[in-house]
Amino acid sequence: MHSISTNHPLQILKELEQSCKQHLVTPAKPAAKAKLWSGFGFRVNKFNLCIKCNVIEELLDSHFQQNLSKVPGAKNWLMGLISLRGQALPLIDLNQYIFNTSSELTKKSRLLVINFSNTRTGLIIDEAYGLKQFDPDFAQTPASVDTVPAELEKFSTKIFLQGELPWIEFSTQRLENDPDFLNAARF
Amino acid sequence: MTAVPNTIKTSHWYSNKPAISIALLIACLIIMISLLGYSFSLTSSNKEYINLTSSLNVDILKIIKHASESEQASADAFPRLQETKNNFNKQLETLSIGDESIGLPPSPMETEQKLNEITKKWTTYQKNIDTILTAEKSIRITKKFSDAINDVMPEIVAASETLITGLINKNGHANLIFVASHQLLLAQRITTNINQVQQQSRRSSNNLEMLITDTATFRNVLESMLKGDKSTNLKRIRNKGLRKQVTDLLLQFETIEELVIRVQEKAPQLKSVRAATDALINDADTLLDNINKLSAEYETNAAQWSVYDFLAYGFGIIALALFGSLGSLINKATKERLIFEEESNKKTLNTILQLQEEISPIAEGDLTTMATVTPGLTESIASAINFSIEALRKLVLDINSMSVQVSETAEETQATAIHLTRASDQQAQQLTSVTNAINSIVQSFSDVAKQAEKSADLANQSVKMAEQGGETVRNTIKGMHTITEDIYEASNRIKRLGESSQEIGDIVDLINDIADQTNILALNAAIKASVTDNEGQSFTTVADEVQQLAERVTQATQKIESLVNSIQLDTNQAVISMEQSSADVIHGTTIAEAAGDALLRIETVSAHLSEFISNVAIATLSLTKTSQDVSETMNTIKKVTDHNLAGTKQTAALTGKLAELAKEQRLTVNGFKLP
Repeated sequence: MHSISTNHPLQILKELEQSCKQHLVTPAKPAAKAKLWSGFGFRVNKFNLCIKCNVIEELLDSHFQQNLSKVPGAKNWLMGLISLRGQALPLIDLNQYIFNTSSELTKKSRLLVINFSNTRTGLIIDEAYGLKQFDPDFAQTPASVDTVPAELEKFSTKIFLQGELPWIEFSTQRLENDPDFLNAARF
Repeated sequence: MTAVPNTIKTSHWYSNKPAISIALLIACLIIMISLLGYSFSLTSSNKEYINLTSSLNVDILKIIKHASESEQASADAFPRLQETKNNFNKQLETLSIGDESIGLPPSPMETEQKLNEITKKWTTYQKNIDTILTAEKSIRITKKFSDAINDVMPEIVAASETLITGLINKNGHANLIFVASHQLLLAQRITTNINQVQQQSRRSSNNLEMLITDTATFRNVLESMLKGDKSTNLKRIRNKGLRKQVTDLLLQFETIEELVIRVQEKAPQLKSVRAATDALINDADTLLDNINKLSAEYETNAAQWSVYDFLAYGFGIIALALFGSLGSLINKATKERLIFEEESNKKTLNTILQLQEEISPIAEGDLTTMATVTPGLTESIASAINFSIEALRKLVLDINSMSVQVSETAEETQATAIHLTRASDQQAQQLTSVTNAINSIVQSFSDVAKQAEKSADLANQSVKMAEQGGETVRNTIKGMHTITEDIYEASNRIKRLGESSQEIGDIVDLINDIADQTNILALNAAIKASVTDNEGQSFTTVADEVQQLAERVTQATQKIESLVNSIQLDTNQAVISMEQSSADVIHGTTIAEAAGDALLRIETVSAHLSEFISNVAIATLSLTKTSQDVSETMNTIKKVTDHNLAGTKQTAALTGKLAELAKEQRLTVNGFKLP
């Protein structure tokens, strides 16, 4: 420890600062932490899904149905069109599309606006959970998990087994490429 | 008379057979004496019979009196009844078969039929007396039982009153107070009925039924007070002290029930006693009538027996005549012998001497002789003497017949006076009995008046209690109205509370919406932040926090929502139960009003009852006064009767004296001898 030479307060403070700087130990850079997989968690039917945040444009509440316009001759999963800030937005009932069972719109229902290669599409989900982070080490293939239904398998690349229920990664890419998705006409 | 020529012709018959004449004379005398003796004995027997029938009459009256007293369980009525019955039997026996100890023969054949009728009636009569005597024990026991009930009942009434006061103080149910008050009436009625049953009132069977019903009702009500009774809407008493009182009352009342059962067992016998007494009173007239007829029969017989007296007197007269004739004939026979011996005496001297001889007995009162009228010196003298003798005879006969008539009339008057004396005696005895009976009636009336006064007091108490009960019920109704108003106000407040909580719910909905919006905004912010560079990443955390806050707000509002819901549910239930309570209170008020009406009616009825009983008491008092007047009047009558009796006795004595005087006159005239 340095002996304090003067009694002037400023001098003392300067000496203290000097001393601290001398003894400062630069902490070792932490080992590159494995990057966590981050996404938006939501629920369709009784399954927990997650989606990458970069494809999400916006999250809206269930008031959309007030200005919903039905599309004649469209399949059931295409609920209709709404005007979102001056642009037409098709609404797809995910539940109807994946499981062929119509969703019941509740207070918790949300509209997830997705950007499909610069085309915006609205997905109706049963409940929004918010941002979720998973360790990629725990990821499994959909085929290896029994609890994942066949309907979901084709839209998923990996499953995160975290918590009680598995979180199924939902690929918008696959949805976009699904032949059925591209053919919304009933006839 | 032509006795002289006859005597001359029959002088030989008499002079030869004087012994026969004397024998005839003695025979006549004996017959006369025996007839007189027989007549005397018959007369004394008839007197005895008439005495016996009189005492039979008195016995019948005594029996009725004792039978009536025995109904009241009077202590010495039964032995007296038995004694009188035995006495009657003994006298009836004496009448029919006589009594050797006093030398009384059996009743004569003429009276047998009437005596048999009496004996027949008496047999029935005696059975009724025996019924009463047999029931003596039952009557005494019943009297004791009813006295016991009279002793215990005031305690029960006092206990019931304490119970009622207790019920009123503890604000007992109106029905209970009403029923408890009614118990007092029942108790009073039980006492009255038991007394009437014991006194074998004419309505005895009715009283008995009422008595049994009342006793059962009294017990049922007490038990209902303990257990409650839905059929009469009577609630059980909850207060421990009052329940103890009711239990004690029940124990006390068990004694009454026991006694009532005993009295009920005795009731048929009492009824038969009543019937027997009624029969005794009803049959008495016939029996008395029969006895009086028998008495009249004996009187008639006594009158007939006096014929023997006349016969005796006839024989006496014949004997007298025979004696007189015999004397004169003997005398004349002597003179005939003198005439035969002294034929030589001078006819004139003889005639004078004969005349002298003939008229000499006249001086001694012998009017049987007549002067012999012979032509000559003494003819006119003899005729004059004969004329005088005829006149004397007529005079003596007149005096004789008159004195006989006086004697007969005096005897008849004496007999009537004696009969009157006996009748007055009987009358005096009957008057004494009647006076006694009236005195006992006066006593009974004053007892009834006392009872009526007591009843009036009780009725007044009932009126007061009904008033108290009415006041309590009115207070209850007032209290219930207040409760209804309070409930209505509370209900309104709770309703307003429910409305307020509804408003809270609306506000909570609004907060919820805001929280939802915040949540979505936070999510959007988080999503946007996550796709930007590293600096934007830190904003993700903030967005996450905001989102979590919004979720917590949502959770909190949900809790508030459920709380508001439960508050609304509770307030609704509270309003419903308060409305129910309000309805109950209104129902209770209706019942209390009905009870109040009932109490008012009880009040009116009790007041009427009280007035009625007071009237009875006044009427009974006036009856008592009247009875006392009657009693005094009877005493006056008795005095008059006693006075009459003394007068009749005096008359009888005077008449006897008159008869004596007539006899003396006849004796005087008897000095003259008549042919």
